[in-house]
Amino acid sequence: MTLAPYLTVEGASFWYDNPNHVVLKDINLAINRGEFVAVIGPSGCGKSTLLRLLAGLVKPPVGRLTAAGRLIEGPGLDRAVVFQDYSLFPWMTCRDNIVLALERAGLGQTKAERRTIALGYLNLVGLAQDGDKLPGELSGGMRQRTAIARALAINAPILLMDEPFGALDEITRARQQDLLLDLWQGGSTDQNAGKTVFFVTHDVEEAVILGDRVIVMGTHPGRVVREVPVNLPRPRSRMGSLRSPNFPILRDRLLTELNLVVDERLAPGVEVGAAI
Amino acid sequence: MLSDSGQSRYFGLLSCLAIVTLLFGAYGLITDVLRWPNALLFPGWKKIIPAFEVSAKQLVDGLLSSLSLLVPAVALSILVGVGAGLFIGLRPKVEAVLTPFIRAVNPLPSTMLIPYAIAVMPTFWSSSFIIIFVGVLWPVLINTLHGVAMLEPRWIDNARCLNLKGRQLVFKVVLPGAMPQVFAGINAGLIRSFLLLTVAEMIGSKAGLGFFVQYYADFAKYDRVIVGMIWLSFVVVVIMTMFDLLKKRILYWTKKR
Repeated sequence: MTLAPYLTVEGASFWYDNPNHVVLKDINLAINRGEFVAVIGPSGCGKSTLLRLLAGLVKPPVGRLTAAGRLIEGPGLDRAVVFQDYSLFPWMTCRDNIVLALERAGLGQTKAERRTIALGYLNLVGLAQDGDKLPGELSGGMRQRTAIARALAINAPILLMDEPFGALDEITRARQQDLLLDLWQGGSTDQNAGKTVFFVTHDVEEAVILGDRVIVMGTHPGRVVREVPVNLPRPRSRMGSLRSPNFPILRDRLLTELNLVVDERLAPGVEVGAAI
Repeated sequence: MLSDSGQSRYFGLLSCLAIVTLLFGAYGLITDVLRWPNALLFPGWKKIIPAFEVSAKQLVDGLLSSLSLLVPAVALSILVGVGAGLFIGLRPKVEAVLTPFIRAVNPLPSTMLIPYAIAVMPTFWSSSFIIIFVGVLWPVLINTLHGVAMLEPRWIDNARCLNLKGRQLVFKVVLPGAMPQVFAGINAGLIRSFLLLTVAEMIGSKAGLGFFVQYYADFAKYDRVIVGMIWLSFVVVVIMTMFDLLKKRILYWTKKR
């Protein structure tokens, strides 16, 4: 068994039209199979752009990205994407949204099977009764659960999540975090367990609760500042992690890193890297 | 804010009827009672209502004749307009080339085509068909193009993440996403179509609602003219209400976002 990284970013820089406006500068990441990586950083650090690079929605002018050993050249169903609040088409019912994704995933099911599978995954996220509703008829939390159900249904080995709980209220967010932990750790079915997850968030606590490793990004240009391993035992629960003595230490460390990034932006000339 | 509740719809219908009653009453007052305007040009209800009764069969026949022209012409415009709009809209290079032409042709009233349509096409029906078709085509085409251009980037991202391509991309994402604009185009096209239909019928037809109005105007039978106009307005209101119901049904999702 090789331990080659499953998802990699190698020397990738990104800009839109003007090479003088660098959005991401020289990003290098190696994410192992089955690893849950959380990415935090202030707004404008390019964390969502990095996710778009991994999703294949944009191509880097410099550098390369790979998934499962293959060069990422465009979007693919080996990488399921959950966006903040728009992973579903508003004109299709929740079930049809999942059925469409299954159809595209080309897993060889019949139409009836796809409908049954879609319902099964809706059931898994507690939405068995809501398959025939339009996304707009559900609450934000229910929509995100549907999006997660869709991402799991197509059985992609890689999950890319762009602040999926960012627009939710505190209680709903906490529940979604527990649900995601539970699914990812294989609480319900083994098939869902062990996915490689790239999870973008702006919430430090969320990053610690979910991630095996937290990547801290800085701005101007967007870059990786620090990688912090999360030494909390698995399987985890949200409450268990919050009560762990390591939790406040990790949280404070990450907050310090983020503050340094922001301070540097406010007072240019201070070398953050050198200070630590 | 307009509410969708049954109560407010009921209220809307009642207010509408009240206004119509008020207008008809006012017209009756100045014609039948006060005998103030010219009685030939503005006949009272005492003349209009009997005229309605004797015209009933003509009105129904005229309506059927008008619809047999309107429905196929509008249907074809929608089919071609939406189809071409999707085709062009999804090909930015083609759209860039065609945009100046579309902009140039759009504001020309298709009534300007009437002399050519009459000269080139063999029958009244075919020349009117062309005029209505062209008149409805542009608003539908332009609004469809607009709808495709205005598709939310996040829907496109989403579609790309699912590797949606070809027909599936068009029918599952592009068309539904552009549908609000498509409906706006059809709405504008329908309104134009009524105008063009009646003008065409007034000029060259031997049947239809436009012909009915023109025919009796030539004989100075203004009670019949008014009957024709009321009937035409009624038909337009019915068609537009049906269209609104269809729109509400198909665009249900836009209310729930």
